[in-house]
Amino acid sequence: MSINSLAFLGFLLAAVVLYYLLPKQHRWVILFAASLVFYLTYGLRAGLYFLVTIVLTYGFGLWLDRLSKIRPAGQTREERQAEKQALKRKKRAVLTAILLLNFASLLLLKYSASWVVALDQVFHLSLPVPSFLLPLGISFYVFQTSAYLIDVSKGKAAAERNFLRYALFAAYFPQLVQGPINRYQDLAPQLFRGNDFDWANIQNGVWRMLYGILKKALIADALAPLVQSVYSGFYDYPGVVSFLGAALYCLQLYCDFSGGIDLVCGASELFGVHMMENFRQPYFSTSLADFWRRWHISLGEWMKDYLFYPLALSKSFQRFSKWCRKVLPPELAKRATPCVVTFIVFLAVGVWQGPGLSNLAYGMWNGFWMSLGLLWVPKAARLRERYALLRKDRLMQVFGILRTNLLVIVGRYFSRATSLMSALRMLKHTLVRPGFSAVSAEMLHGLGLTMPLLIQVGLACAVLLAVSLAQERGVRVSRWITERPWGVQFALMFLALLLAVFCVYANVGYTPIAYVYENI
Amino acid sequence: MSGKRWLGMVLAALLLVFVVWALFNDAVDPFKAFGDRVVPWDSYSLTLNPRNSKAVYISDKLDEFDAYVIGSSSAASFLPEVLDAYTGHHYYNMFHYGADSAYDLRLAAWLLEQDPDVKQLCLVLGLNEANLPETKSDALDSGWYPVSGESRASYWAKFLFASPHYSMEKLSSLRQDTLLPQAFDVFVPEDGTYDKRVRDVEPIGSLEDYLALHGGDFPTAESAEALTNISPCAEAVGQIRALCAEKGVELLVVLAPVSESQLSGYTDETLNEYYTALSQVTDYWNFQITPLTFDARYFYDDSHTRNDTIRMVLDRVFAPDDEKWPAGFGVYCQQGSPVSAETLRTLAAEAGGKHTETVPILMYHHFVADPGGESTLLSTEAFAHQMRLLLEAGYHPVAVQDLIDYVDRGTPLPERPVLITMDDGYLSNYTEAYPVLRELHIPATIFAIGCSIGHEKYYKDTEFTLTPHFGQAEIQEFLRDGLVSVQSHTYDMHQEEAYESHSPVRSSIVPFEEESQEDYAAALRADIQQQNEVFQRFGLPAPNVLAFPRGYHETITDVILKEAGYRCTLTTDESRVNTIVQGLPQSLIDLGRINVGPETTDEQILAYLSRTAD
Repeated sequence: MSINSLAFLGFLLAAVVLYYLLPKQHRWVILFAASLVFYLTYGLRAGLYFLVTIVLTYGFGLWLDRLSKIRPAGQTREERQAEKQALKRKKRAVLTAILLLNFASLLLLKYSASWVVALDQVFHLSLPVPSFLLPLGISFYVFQTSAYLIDVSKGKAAAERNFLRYALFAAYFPQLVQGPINRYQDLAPQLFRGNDFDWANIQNGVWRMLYGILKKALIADALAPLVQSVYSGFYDYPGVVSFLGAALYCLQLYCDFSGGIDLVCGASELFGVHMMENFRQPYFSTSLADFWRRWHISLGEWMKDYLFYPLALSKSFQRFSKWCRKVLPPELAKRATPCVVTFIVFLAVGVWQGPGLSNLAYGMWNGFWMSLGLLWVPKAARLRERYALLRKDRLMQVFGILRTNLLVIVGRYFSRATSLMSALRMLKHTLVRPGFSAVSAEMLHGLGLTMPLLIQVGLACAVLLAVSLAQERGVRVSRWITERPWGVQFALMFLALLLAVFCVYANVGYTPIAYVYENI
Repeated sequence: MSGKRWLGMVLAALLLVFVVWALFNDAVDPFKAFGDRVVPWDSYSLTLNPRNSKAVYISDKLDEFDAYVIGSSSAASFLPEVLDAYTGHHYYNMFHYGADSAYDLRLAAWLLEQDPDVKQLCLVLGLNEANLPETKSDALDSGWYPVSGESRASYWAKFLFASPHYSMEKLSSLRQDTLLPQAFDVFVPEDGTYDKRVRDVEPIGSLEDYLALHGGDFPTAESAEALTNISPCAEAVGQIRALCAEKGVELLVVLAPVSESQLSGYTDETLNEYYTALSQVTDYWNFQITPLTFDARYFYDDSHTRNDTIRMVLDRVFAPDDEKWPAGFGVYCQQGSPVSAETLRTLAAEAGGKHTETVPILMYHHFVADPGGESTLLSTEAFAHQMRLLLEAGYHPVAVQDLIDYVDRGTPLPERPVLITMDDGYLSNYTEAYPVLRELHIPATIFAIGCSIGHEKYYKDTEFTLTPHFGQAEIQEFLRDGLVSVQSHTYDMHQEEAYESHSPVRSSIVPFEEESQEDYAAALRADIQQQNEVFQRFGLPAPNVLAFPRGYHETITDVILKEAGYRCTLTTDESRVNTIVQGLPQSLIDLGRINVGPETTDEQILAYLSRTAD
């Protein structure tokens, strides 16, 4: 069941009504049942894969929890210390085993086919290419359950004893398709406690869903064919068109991904469950680091907590830091470990995006600039002291936004291209043959950039910009609307519903394009 | 605002959305469900939904007609004008694509009930009817509710709340509408047929060329299918027959021609089952397998027969004793005695013979008795030599009318036919070439520029001199012995840019850049009219052959010329091998010619003449 279908709306409405009809203590059962039904609409086999993951992580969670709660029973302090160490080692072994298992399933199902193909291309082995069914939302549930296990092993969270409740945490249907990657400690209480009916939740949820669905339909899906033509046939157009295509892809991707997240977060709010925010106006970022704090926040946070810090604080990197202090100037030595670890983290982000060298290159592109940024910080501070111009906040902000977006757009050459070679070719084409003068209205028209499309996307983007600016200033737009006079609310609601009905739900001419991050 | 009030507000907004939705669909009415009063466009709604729109369209015009064609798109080419000419009735073609036999029956019953004057029904059956189950009544193409039996409420709800996409598409198509049909307006509302103006002027030559262009529309089936709806279909036909008998209405049942491509999807056994079932309930004409089946040129695509092919079919049906049709072209089956697919195949194989001819065409312009060293002019002597050359090589010069007769009636052409043509209408055609033609009894066609006829010295009303053109006296001579046919090179669409004071200049028959189809059509029609008037003034019959000035033309040119009665057009394309096909007037369109000048050698002429395609 696609989340932008009318069927999903009907399903959601039924689930919401049933949820609030049931006594509070049983409300979570509705969420569980709805999640089960939702997942099964995607097929039984995918459900079985998922069930195995849930059973394994549930069992290992309990095990880790039991290990965490064992108090050393030794007589002497030394004995207790030794026992503690042994327990710690055991816990680590158990955790490592389950994490390996968890990630191995992801690697096997998602990446093995492309690796076999790559091996075949290099060594001509004629290996049989495995073809696995990629279960819905696998990257998201693997990350989410892994975070749970790590938190349990650290004692940050208590393991869930009720299997069905645990299954609900792992498979909560609004988050399943494309995240956000929630934390057990944040999500579980909201899922299990049986939320009270609150009109504010309903109002916010409805507005957010409308916003999300329109963002996807009016901008992302309208631009998708255009972006597709540029990426698949960039050679037929001047290089500047490639750049335009990549820039439009940024817009498409944002509206697609954040539109989807708005839709599912809105749906979740109807049950009174507030999921983690995944975006904060990323294209207003003044630096790449800022961008990664605003774009796909739940992945960034995950990477920070479960990859960056564990790596940076690991023994190997502590040794590395020591060594750096010996051979490097102090300022550089201080930043060496964060630089290297940041680069590794972004390689992981690239791999997470999908198989293929172009995704790896995407990770490296970001990792390179992020690491460089870390080294640059003290230098930038000194420059700011010396030059008054650099202290003009507004100017620097605009410059920062432009610079960041440029880096992001170039990054998108890699993440959207079908292969590393085609991304590099496209980049070269942009630089070597920009051909500004060769661009004509007819050419853009031929690409699909027609006047009606321009008007539609233009108007929709004007709304997007206005909402984003308000959000940047901390306004909760749905709440702001509910505080307007009823006439204004009515007009806005009418307009939004009209667009949703005409352009999405009743429009046989609209074929929603699969969410880019769906099933990633 | 309290929660409940907020919910009320949302529901009110939703209600308003539904009201706007319904009003929008009602006003734009792409399906002609509500009469299409605000943005009337019959051809569009017929294209989108012929089943519904045709019934609505005809409902207040039933008194204008007394006979109807019923069937699926295989009935599209049964042109009312042809049927009317044979039967004396006033036909309307009620065909709609995707017809199922259950709906055919309902439509026939409705027509017989609503129109007391019906004299004849022509039921055309293809393979669709024997294959399609009944259309669901809640579908958008289930038809007009008085015909389909659907309740009025459900019909209204269905179209008021149809996807707004349809209405928006209608509005956007309206902006792109042009004179010629496009994918969104393929119907002629006045008679209910397809608007085939463009496909009916596509030049047709060899089968190979046709398949190179349209081969994709003639796929060969990978495996044989069953016909799943034979008995319900036969039952419906039987009921239509009974209804007609009851009302004293004549019923003509025709199994329409099927292309080899479509035929490949069914075994003879399956077809026989169909033929037998039909034969139990009615007499019928069977045209499914004929010699034409095996020549794709007689079809627009695998399941659609050309209008001109159906002209042949109707000719056969209404003048069955005409000897021009071989025994295998259409078989009349009496009730109870079907003719099997195998027999049809045998008859088709026996009847199938040569039905095409290759016709090379030579193009001349000006002649001089003595070129006097000027190498750009062709001498009379050279022309006489060339004429003798082709006679000696066994070629037989023919007139354009011979080609038309071959196409229309199958009148045989002599062996190795060739056409001699002269462009522009110079006086030298009379003084130099005509004596040679007379001496050798060679027919020829001269294409005269209307506004230059009789101009011996000056270009139109200017003082620019020009090569003299023939006038009244010469035309009288031509008319006397009929060896030369004077035809059109346009009235004034061969202008000399240097001599004209206005701009842009019509140096050829093609539209100006940015000229709308409507403006161009008006200009071309006016030119045709003026040409007819000039021809009339000189006592010439109205032209029906035209050589394109400079050889250029566009599809719309061909469409307007056909509409004005032109039967044959000529270009200057030397590469095209002209293959003319019996029954297909399109094979006379855009014929190629070789320009013969002083530099043309005998070998070049002979090489050109000897080219064949089929």
